[in-house]
Amino acid sequence: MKRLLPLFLLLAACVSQHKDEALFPPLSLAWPGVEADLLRGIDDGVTDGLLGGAERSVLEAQLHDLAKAIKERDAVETRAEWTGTEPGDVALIMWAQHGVQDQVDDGDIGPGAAASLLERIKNFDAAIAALPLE
Amino acid sequence: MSDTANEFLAILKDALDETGLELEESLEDVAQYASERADHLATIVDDPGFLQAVRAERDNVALKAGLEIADDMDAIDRQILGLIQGALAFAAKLLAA
Repeated sequence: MKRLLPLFLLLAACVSQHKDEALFPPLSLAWPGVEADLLRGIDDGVTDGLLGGAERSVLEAQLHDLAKAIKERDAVETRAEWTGTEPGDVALIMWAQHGVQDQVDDGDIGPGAAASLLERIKNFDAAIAALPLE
Repeated sequence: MSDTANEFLAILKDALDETGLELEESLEDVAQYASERADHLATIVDDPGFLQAVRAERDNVALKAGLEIADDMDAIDRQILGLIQGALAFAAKLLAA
């Protein structure tokens, strides 16, 4: 464990100054993984007949808008796109979770890895919920 | 607190004492959480998706700790993230041994 000391020196060098700025960088870090789970879930939803073409387009537009909101550190838009508060939008969390399950069902990942991915979705959701809104 | 968590905590305390910096969340909470995630990774070292899980746990620790990592990461930032990721995987394999 002592060999990890220099690694954690680097970890401790990452400082968060303000709560409102603390969450967007790790959200940006986690986004590619969460996005991959979302896309997998949407693809599987179409394959399984849960989603039609039009619904898929709406979800993909939400993903695009969410990515933009995270990049621009727009707390209001980030929360709106993730939770699906705009008319016609849906909460994205269930499709991310569906994507993880699909990876387990297809044998791409085991249940243990799925637990890590689901934990990330949960933390991602919690971080967005904690974003201070002006 | 487990032995692993205590070791993570000692390392983090040493690091913060030297730099004088602070984390968004309490030091004990970050150390405990990192320890728990390393313990989990140790149970899935040989399972499908282990590397994806390590990346997910890196993100989990960052989200929990409220780490500030620049969006426009330069080469050094990417190295830091790689090292955090490596530390988790290394700790997991040590625990699994």
